[in-house]
Amino acid sequence: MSEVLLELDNLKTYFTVTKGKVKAVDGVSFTLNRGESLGLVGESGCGKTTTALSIIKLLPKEGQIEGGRILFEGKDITHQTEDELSDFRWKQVSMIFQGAMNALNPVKRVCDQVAEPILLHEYTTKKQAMERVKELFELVELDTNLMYSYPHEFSGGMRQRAIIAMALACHPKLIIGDEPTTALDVMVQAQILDLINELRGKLNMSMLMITHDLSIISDTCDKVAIMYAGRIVEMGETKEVLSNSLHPYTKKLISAFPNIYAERKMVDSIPGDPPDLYTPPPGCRFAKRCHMVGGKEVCQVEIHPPLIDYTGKGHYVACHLWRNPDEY
Amino acid sequence: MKRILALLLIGAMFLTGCATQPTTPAPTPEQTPAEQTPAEQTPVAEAPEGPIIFRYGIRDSWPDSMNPLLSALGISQTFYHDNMYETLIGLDAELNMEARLAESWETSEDGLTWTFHLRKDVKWHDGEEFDADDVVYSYQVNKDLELPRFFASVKDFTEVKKVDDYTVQLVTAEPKANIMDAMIDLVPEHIFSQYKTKDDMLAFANESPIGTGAFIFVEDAKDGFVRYKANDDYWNGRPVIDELVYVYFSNADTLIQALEKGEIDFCGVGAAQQDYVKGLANITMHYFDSNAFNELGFNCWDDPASKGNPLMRDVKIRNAIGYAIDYDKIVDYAMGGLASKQAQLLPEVTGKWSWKVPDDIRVDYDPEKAKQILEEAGYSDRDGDGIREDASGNKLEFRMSIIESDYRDCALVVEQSLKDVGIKTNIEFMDTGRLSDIIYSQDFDTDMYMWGWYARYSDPSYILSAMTTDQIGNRSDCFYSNPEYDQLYVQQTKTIDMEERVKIVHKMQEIIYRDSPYLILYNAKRINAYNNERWENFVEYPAFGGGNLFNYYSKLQVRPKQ
Amino acid sequence: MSFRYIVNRLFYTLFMFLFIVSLNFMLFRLMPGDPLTMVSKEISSSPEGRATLERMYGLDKPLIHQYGDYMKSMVTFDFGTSFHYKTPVRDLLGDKIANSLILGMAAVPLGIAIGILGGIIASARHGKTADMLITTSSMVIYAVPTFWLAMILLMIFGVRLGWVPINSMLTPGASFATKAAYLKDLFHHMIIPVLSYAIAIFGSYLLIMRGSMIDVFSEDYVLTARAKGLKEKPLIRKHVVPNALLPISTSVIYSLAIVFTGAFSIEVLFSWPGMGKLMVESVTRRDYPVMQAANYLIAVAVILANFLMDIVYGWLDPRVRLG
Repeated sequence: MSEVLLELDNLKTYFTVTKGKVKAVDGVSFTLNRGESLGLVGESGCGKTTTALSIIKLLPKEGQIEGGRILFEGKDITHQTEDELSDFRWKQVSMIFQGAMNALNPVKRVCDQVAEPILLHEYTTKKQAMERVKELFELVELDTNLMYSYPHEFSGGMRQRAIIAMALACHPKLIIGDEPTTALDVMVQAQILDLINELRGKLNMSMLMITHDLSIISDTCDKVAIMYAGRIVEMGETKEVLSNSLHPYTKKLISAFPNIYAERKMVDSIPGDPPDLYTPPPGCRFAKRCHMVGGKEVCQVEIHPPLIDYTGKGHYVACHLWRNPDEY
Repeated sequence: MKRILALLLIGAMFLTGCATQPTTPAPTPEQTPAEQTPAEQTPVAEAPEGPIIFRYGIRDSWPDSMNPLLSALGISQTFYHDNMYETLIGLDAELNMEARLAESWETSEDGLTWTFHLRKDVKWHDGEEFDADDVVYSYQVNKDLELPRFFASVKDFTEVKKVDDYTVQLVTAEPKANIMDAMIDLVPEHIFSQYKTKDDMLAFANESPIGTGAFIFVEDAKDGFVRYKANDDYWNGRPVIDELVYVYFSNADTLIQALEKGEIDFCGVGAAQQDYVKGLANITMHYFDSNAFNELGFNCWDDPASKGNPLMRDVKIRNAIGYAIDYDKIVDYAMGGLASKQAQLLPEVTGKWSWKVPDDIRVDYDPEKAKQILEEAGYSDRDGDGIREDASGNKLEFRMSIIESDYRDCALVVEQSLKDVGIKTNIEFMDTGRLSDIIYSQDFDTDMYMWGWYARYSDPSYILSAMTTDQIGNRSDCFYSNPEYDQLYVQQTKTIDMEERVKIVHKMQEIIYRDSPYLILYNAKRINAYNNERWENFVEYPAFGGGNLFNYYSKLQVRPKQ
Repeated sequence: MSFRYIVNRLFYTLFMFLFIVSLNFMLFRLMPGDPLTMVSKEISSSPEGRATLERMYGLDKPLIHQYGDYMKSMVTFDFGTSFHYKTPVRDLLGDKIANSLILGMAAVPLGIAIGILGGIIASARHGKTADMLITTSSMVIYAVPTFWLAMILLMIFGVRLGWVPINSMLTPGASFATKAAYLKDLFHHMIIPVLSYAIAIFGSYLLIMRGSMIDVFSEDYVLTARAKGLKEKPLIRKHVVPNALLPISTSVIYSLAIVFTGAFSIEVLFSWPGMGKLMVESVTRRDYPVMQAANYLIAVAVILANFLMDIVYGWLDPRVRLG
């Protein structure tokens, strides 16, 4: 199916601090279809988490959506009130937060916490809710006997599964995962990723996967969007973007990943730091660190390059100099 | 959340709001004047609607035993014993002997026998007759069982004889002039005699006391109050008031507030509160000199075991210190003006016993004179550090042990005064227990200290004895020893002739004044305050402005304001 | 919690207890001054009289004997006779403890409740004016000396308005026809002391609770709960408060357990005949029997409190329960 589930239209989310405003998300647009999964990749501080929080409306009090729209199933949810949102949250969209280890309340039993959203959003009895919890446990391959345990009695991987179970409790249409496997060791990570893939297939769920780890993206996402300094710089089907990267940043990212099969060489890093989002530089935000710029005015003076699908194949890039890939 | 808080607040206010005036058992004296109109009523107060209750607020320690033979604290006399028990002889307003339970008495020619003729109409509070058996028992039991309060008072009697039902004789080996020191509380033989052994008596708490006095015990609550009712059959006339209640306060400010509000009728006022009380229209204040004095004491112990600085025993230094101290400053600053400067051992309120210091030997604040005395005695500051030394280089540096809660400010004034004349003082603050330990333990490890005494109105012997060699190791806290003084002391205890005796007592005070084992700094003044809208007819006693306004006579005569 | 764990704790506490009371026995007697010297100036003491007093106090017995009596009293609860009041310590203490309990059991829970509720409210409005008002006023009130506060209250409500009596627990010398009259009098006397006491203590609870709540608010599971769709009030009630209470629970239990040892400053101010005042005065007077009994009580109270704290905290926080 390809109906559009989520659409972001030039979203701008700013944080108000004493100095002024930090433009964390400065014009992000993408669409996500039903059953599709989109990966959001970038360095720390590029605005991925803020985008996710904007969608589910859990920004800290300093953050405000100051421009653009968010459309869910065609409906504009950008400025909904808390009351309207409480139905939306978890039922339509649920989220797995960064550092999900601590997403469980230590003094409550796991089953109670998984059952909580069920009891909140649906008219069920406690007993029915517990039945559901059992099913969910089975779904995420957790021993149902452990339902009545406390979070501290679970290992990291088990907790992650429990959190996934909790996120699925109300059969959301979209699940947002913010670095869901970062804290886990590689073995468990692999298991969890397999689980996620399986579940997506079974439940036809859309997913927005936020990470800085490209290998995960290649494993789980249909599409990928590369973010830098609050904007998307490249977006398209995962395979296409990873093998035919057009943006200098993307290229650097990929080459920064050591290749286990290639010859041993020094890992390419990108010198410098991301720009200050309080006063972003004019023109392309990557210009300062871009190896392509080399004094080219267009990159530094004009407005930030728009995200355009030049080839018409659904592969978007935001760069003035993309045309000659081999020159990079 | 908010609702709960609001409810709590409202609840609290509501409850406070419905608090009406506390319902005390109808104290009518304050209501009577309003109801009486001169036209309708005769000057005699109409029958009150309830008992006349006098409430005395006290802020001190709670008393100790209700058994007068075991009691060790002065406050117990105020709260308990003075109201219920009596002696054979008392003192009148001029501090001369006056009949109480003994209506007359005489001494034998040789002065060795005192004969007392008892009143015949006295009954104990439980109805039993008071007679010679009670007197004999009271004196004998204190001697036999060595009971703490009165043993020292009765030990001189070789015999206590019942001559007949209403005549008792007390016999001594030597003439005893200080018979007033032997006036002990008389207790009912028919109750106390059951407690035959020492341990029995020590365990007898006497919780339902029976006496002969003007007031009968009703009840008490420890740390709360004591309540008495008037003795209708009291031999000296029934008190005007119907009930007497002593209320205990642990905080001086609440005491004054209670007085202001009318919850109590009478109390003592401290220096810090006198200005506030002055401003209250319904309260009258009464200032009086007390029989208490406070002194700077010196370690005069002339014994190898003494750990005091030997220089302290040089009388010249002590004399010099006498001139060095700024007494007025002590009275004004340390005591808030609530003291008077007196320097003789028997305070002025003891009347005839008190010696008047002649002008030519009077010691007053004169730092120049102090310096002169020290210089002439060979103490000068040879090394320029501000402290004098003697010829061998021993510094005039002395330790001063101070009970912080009582004498702090005073000690600081003295320290400064001494510094000004070249004497260094090292103050050590402590509590009473520690000071007692230092002085009464084996080695008297300090040089100066401050303490106080009550000189009795009844007889000077007690306070004079504190300076005798005999009392070193017992009562004496300066360990002064002077054979001439000791001899005079013994002499005055035997001189029955009052004029002669007074002369000796004056001479003794002069010796002490010159030798200065103590430097008496001040006599405390005290303040009583009472509700003048309710009460009148207090009696001053002693007549020359000495004591507490609520005394033996006031208790009998005070009445609601007409 | 296993049986073995509890038994283990019990043995440990028993040992501590015995050690503490023995130590205190020695400390009391090491203090300079003994009960007799306190009265040495008041009475016309003679050596014989002094000896009699010593006998009355039981101080003439050898130290070992006194220690034996002392240890025996721990079990029999017969603490002897007070040097000062000359009445059995047990009776004396019974009254005073009851009085302290009346005062404390009304004031302490009130103070704690106000503090905790206030802390919750302030933290829920963190950064807004309500929070600032609550926090500042709590700090100011907490910093103000208790006696000053109490005196002001007494001045306003007792003297100027005349709504409540000034002193003590009951009207001195009054007799009460009915139980209701007695309770009414007691209540009048209680209001200001209880209020003063509660006001004096609520500050610290409020500030701690508020801090604890703010910490918990920033936890991930609170964010998760919000994401799940919980509204603010149920969120606070179900997720924030249970976690925020943990650090403060130990001090709450402790405060409640030692209530019967009295509150010295309040009791002295209002002449409330309670344990706090008695304990302090017994030290000044060197009233050994009372000091010993009071000390025993405090030891019991603290140990009980510790024991309770272990258990209650384990109940509140599942992470702490050891096998």
